[in-house]
Amino acid sequence: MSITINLRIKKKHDMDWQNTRRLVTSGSMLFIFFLLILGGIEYGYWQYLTNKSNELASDIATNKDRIRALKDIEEQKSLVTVKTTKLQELFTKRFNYVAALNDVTNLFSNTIDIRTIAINESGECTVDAKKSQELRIDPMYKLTSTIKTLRLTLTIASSDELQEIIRNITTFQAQGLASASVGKLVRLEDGSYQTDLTLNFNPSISQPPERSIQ
Amino acid sequence: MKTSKEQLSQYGGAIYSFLILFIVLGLVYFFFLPKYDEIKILQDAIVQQTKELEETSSYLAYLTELAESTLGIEQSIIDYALPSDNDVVSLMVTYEGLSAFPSIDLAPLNISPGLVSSGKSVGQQSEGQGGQSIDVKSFEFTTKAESASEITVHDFINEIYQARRFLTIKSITLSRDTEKSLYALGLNLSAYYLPPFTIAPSPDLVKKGKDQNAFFEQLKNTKLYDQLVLDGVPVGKTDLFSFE
Repeated sequence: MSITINLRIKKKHDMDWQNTRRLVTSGSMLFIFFLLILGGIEYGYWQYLTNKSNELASDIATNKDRIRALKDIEEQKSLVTVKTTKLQELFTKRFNYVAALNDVTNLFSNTIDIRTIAINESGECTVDAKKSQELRIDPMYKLTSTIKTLRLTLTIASSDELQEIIRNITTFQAQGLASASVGKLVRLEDGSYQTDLTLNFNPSISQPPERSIQ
Repeated sequence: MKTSKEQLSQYGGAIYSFLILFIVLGLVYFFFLPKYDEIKILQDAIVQQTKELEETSSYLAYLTELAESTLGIEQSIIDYALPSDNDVVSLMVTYEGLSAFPSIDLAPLNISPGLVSSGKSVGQQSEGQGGQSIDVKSFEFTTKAESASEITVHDFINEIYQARRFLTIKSITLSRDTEKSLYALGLNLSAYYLPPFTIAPSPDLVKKGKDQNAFFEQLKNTKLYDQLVLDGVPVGKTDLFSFE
């Protein structure tokens, strides 16, 4: 009896193993090569960013040096800024008298004949006037100034007119008008009467419009 | 018994794989990850630096612009509007200029002695360098005019508010002549000055000053009466009789 050994099977097995090894070796080499390329790209990008950062740092340092050289300008401008801020504070507090005078005239819809007007920057307004028509406040009128209080000393022809005023004052309406009251009544030598009306306004409702220096 | 060559042949694959893995891990751990972190840090730093560069460039450009032209103009405008001392000449010039307003007959300026030098503090006090107070002073004076129409009064009030030397009206009184429909005008005015002070230069203040450009444009359009009233007399004197 003879023994037959199939050498071809072993040889085929060896060849498969060698092919696999070759494939793994080539694959891993390729992978390492790919990693090295990737590393190179990453390094290049890092180098680019480092250079860019250095350039920026250098530009910033140059700018700072030049700014330091202009320190006297910085100092003078700081002084100007403080002065301007102070002037702006004063400017915003400046009372708009033209608007206040218009408000006094327009609020009563020309139903009074004004003799004197005194206004101060706190928004307190005192008016001495003679009633020319039935006293009326325009309900649609919105104050354009920051008048807070309006004290109206009104001369009327008869006491009947006073009753009319007291009756009307309860129905006074105007935008921003907070309260209205009648004060003392004085009988004058010529037989006419003088009464004091006080109107208080809410400045938050009657906001003045924006204005410029003019 | 296997020879060392056979053993190497048998475990070669494993050793090779381990070596590759070691190289890859080494590359990732010692190169890729640190560089990736550095790149992230650099990117953030560049964003910050770009922003800082833009800010410093813009600030530098503004300082250069100030140095070349604007600052001198701003200083002259603000020093006229709010002088460092009780600049009587600019006040008189302004008042005389206002007196020339058409259709109004303004009474001569009457400032009582000592009033100008004893200005009272107004507004909020702030602190300068070394705790020095920055304090605006004011002094009040009155004036009156006879026989002005309502429109003239309005225009005249606007004219006062248009003057370069900053004035405020503290109070106003109008008395109407019923026959002529004209008003007698009484005004209580305030003029201001800001005594000299020092302040530490600060970029924040300079930047804040940049935001005041709109206000400066308004101030630029205010009215100077120098040429109208005085010819060749410099404004800024506190001693009227000095030749300097």
